[in-house]
Amino acid sequence: MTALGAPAPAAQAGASSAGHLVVTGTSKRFGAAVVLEDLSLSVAKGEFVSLLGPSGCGKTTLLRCIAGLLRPDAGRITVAGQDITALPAHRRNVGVVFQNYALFPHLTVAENIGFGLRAQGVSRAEAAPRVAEALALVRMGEHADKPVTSLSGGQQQRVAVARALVVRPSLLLLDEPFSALDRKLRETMQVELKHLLREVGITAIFVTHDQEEALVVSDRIAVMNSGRIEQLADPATLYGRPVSLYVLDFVGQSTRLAGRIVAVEDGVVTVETSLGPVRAPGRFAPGSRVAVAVRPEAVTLGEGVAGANRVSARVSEISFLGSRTQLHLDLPAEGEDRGVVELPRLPEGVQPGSRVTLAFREADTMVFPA
Amino acid sequence: MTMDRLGTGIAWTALILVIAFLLLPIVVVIPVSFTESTVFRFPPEGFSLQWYGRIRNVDGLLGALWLSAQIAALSTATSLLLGTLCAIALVRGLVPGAAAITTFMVSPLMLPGLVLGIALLQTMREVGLRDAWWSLYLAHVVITLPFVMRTVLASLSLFDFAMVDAARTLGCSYPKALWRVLVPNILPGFISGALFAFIASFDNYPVSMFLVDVRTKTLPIQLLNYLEISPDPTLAAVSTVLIGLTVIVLILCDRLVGLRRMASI
Repeated sequence: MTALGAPAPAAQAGASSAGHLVVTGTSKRFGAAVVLEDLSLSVAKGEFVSLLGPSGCGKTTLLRCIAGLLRPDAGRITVAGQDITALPAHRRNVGVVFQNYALFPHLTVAENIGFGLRAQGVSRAEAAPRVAEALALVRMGEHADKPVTSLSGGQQQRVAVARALVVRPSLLLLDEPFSALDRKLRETMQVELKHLLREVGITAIFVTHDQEEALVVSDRIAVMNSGRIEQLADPATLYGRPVSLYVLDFVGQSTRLAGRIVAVEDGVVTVETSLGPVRAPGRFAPGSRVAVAVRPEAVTLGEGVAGANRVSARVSEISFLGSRTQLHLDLPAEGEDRGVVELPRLPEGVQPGSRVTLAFREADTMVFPA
Repeated sequence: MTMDRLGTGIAWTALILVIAFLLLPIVVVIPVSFTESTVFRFPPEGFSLQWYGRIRNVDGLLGALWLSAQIAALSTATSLLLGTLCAIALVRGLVPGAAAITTFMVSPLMLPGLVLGIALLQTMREVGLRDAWWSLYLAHVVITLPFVMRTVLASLSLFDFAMVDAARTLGCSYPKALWRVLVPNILPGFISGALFAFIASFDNYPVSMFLVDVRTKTLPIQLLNYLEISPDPTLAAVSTVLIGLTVIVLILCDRLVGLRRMASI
């Protein structure tokens, strides 16, 4: 395991404090469509970063540029201080786990894992123990001689990971690695894979459109929007302090109310919304159109703490989620207003149609330009 | 119940008749080739191998066989390479108008051989290519390419090109990745395409007819010439040899990839 995780000597020699993977000013267009726009990103050694965004935001294009499967139109990509922008894919030593794993159906499990070693000229005798080690690492030892087509989804993923890791890449890229698995298995594999990669000590980039998955597997998440990184932060910051409505909506749920600034004092603005005035920390000119938002678990029913925002709303729907209960609020249908509140336990007497008072702290309230 | 049985009976009879109709003319050739008689007649009289011996002595027959084998093998190999590369570009959408180009590339299949032959003769004259061997080779690339394209396109449409990317990230250059991953996975399509292409070239008459010269004749043309001069069982002997070779090739293919897999392409 340690041998597998040991970085290649070249990678160590060239390491710099600037970050293990550094993408600078990278652009890519397909015809008239700009897919990556002057994008920059720095990832530290051993860090797990997710590229999160809807399809078409450029996350897979960025991954393919890093892997060398696409050539960016502009910009520079370095790994461990070495400029790899012009290197072809087969000389980059960047491992990739593909969306549908792209295992070779004409080879067995062990042959799939040994493929990269053989391609790099490692002799059969030298490759065998390393393949065995990789098989053991992903707990697939007993399946070594099976055809890959006979494996389950989770097993196929393990083989794909082992195949990418066995050549000791300087970087591992994973393209929607869990999308082919069913929900239950996905949750297990997320934790398992995170643990495994941590043990190996590799730097990993996950591409995903699933915000829950990104929150589970990443140290930091880059939320991407039309070819650019909208926000790059750790999961807690991203969730608690999103920089834009786009990030707010993409990561987690929230109650969101459109409004207009009616008062400004000492870095606190008062916003007139469809549910009444709401105060939030922020700096906006009076009269600006804004949206205020609060995360579902930051809201309590009743009066709340002193000085909290209080609004009154009608409950439209109640969803029991097991560990918590979700209330949906009845808001005017026009506009993008919506209301979601999550409570550890449903207070007695609250049912669809009930009018409730919601309280949330000023500090938990966010305000964005609309 | 009895109606069912009657229906089944009729179906079986029809099946057997159709198979007999397809196979009997071919099968009859084999015993005729062993006849002692000098005429092409069934049932054969006596047993002899003289007609096999004559294959060597008939003027131009072995030469024609060798020429046809050469042309078929080389044009098939050329088509495999060109057809596979074209098919990759078309399947991956690397060229605009891929659908139209695909239709164009397989269109010689739908064109009467005579038309193609005259057109090619005209073209070769215009560009000043007078050599019969090269004319035949180029014409047969045109004949064989659609067969290869069709089967390779079919297998490629089922192929996941992420595998090629995977091979590249694991240390294979693009050509090496194609060789190590793409070729083994489309092998059934490759072999059946090659087989069809080889046979299409080997027994092509209408196109070759326009391009041969006195000294350079392909086997089908040489055989027909011979038949006009002396219709003896030598032809049956040649046919039997070809049937034997075909059976051997089919068995090899079955061993290699399985006929079932090839037929499904």
